[in-house]
Amino acid sequence: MTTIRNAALFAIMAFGLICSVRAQDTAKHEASPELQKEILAVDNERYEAMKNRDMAAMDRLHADGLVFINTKGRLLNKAEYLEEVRSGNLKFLSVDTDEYHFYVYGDAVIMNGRANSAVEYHGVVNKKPRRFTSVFIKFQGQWKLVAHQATLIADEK
Amino acid sequence: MLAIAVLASACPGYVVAQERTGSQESIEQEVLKVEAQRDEAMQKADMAVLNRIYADDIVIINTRGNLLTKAQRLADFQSGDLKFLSFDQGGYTFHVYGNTVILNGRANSVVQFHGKVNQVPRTFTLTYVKSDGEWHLVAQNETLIDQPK
Repeated sequence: MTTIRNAALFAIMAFGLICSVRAQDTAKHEASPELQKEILAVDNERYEAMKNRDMAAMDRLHADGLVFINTKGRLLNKAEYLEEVRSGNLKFLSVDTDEYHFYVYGDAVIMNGRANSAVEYHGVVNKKPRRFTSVFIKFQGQWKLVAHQATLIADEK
Repeated sequence: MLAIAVLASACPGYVVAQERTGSQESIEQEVLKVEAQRDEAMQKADMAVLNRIYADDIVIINTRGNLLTKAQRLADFQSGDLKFLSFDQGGYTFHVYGNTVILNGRANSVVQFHGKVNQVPRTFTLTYVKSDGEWHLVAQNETLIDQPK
């Protein structure tokens, strides 16, 4: 009887330990408030650079291997994306983003969010709400955007 | 050395080829293998494999712009709410940043989601991260490709 009770107690303790490790696992990837602020500051710099067509800043804030997928599902590399900004084909008429989530994996940060910004792309204004994933990686002390994808929210026109 | 510098400035492709080291190629192969396992698991609703590949705090943004957690995505597969009627995915490009790999591609699969069939081609970004010796999918974002009207 004692053996069964001990076995049951051991099983409960082991389950508790596994659950606690799982919870810590998830928590360990959530970015600290300081890191979240750091990434948001870099992202704000990106928006400022886009607004002002500051191509030097755009070049600094985007990795050479950038892959940018817009809401039309079109894939742009860094040169194509920067050219859209430089030429004025891509313009932010307003910036409105929220519902951020940040996860950190080594030198990489995954940032998810929602945007209601008004964007003019090749003369067409898009104000539809969208969700996005941005991946930032630190290169020699500088966070750079390495990947970005945005998707329109179908249920909200 | 000077010859390499001259060649590199004259031909950017040369630099890219040189930078793509054997280790990067082997990382791409490793990730491709995991992605192939995931593709098969999605078609068979193999929950054990999906559970192993998806990171616990993966964030998935599907083609409808919905944000899904791991639990929600696994539940969709388990219940049959998410089913592949045909599978066609490729056109992969890889960007390797140490233990992080950005995998982009295009899917033409026919997918049934909560009773609705979607056959519009889509592009996607998958972010894989290596931890404890295994590659895990930590983020997924899909977008329908705007078709000419």
